[in-house]
Amino acid sequence: MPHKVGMLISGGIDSPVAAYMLARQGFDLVAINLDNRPFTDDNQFEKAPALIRKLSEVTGQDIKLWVAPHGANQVQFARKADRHMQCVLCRRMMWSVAAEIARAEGCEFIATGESLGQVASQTLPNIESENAAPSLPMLRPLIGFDKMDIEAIAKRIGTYSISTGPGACCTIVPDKPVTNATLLRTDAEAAKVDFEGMKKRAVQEAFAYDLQGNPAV
Amino acid sequence: MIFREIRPCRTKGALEVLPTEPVDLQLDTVEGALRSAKFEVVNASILVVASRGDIAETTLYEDGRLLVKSLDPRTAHKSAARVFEAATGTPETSGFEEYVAAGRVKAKGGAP
Repeated sequence: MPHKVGMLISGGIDSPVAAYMLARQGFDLVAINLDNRPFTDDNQFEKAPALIRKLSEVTGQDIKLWVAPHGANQVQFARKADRHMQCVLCRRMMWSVAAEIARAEGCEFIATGESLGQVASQTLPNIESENAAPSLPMLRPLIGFDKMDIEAIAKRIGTYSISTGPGACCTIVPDKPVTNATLLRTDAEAAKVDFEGMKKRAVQEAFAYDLQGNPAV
Repeated sequence: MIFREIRPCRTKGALEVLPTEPVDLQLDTVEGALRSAKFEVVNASILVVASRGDIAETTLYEDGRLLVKSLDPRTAHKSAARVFEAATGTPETSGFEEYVAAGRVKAKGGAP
């Protein structure tokens, strides 16, 4: 029986490639998108379903897409935690919400499209401090890839043009995001908000689409 | 002209509008001013997001920088001007064409 994985799909170039790599290894995919509006725009939001349709085509899987709200949680982090820790807390929350949804879907893992050093905040110390929260093990199939490799695969499988279409970047990223977060510091910052309550609300308010864009159970 | 430049943001997915004079906004106060002007507002403390039927959704930072979720510079100017005026009380007295003529529009659609 194939392993089932909750794949975080952001709308960027990397996560669809990571999803494709896992599908090629025999994993069954459940896609999870965290809706970051109003800190991104509708164009960015609409990329996730378009990418899932393309991935379903190239993998032959009928992939369900879960969408969970994330903007309200970003507001809480911005208002109550250290400004420079925004990205670390954002990701810790995304992994945690995704893990809960994935667990309910019968997944054994969650996965992301992270690769080291691609953005300032994507460092080993940060990843370690973000890892502590989710309730499922995390897979990062692209961790050692460079951007050229990832883009080449994205072009080959047809997701590149979707990912690079119009879409606003995240407006709540701080000027100087932390690059060397520790578990202690991340825990302390997460304790400034009702992390568990925020996570539960996001999971409760999440909804699923099938490939036709209809609500899926 | 209350804006120094209208230009694409770093990822070219939106337009950034920079004020001519530096400002230091108290966003809790700004939130109230925007609500009074009938904007819907999300106040994330370090930025506010303002929306209303007559503008594209606009993010305003403490330093007065605005990010407008549109790639049309005319829409960006209009949206930024309405949000900035409501937030600071400084009215925009120049039209979009004056910005174009002054070379302050660095985005597609802003050529004189």
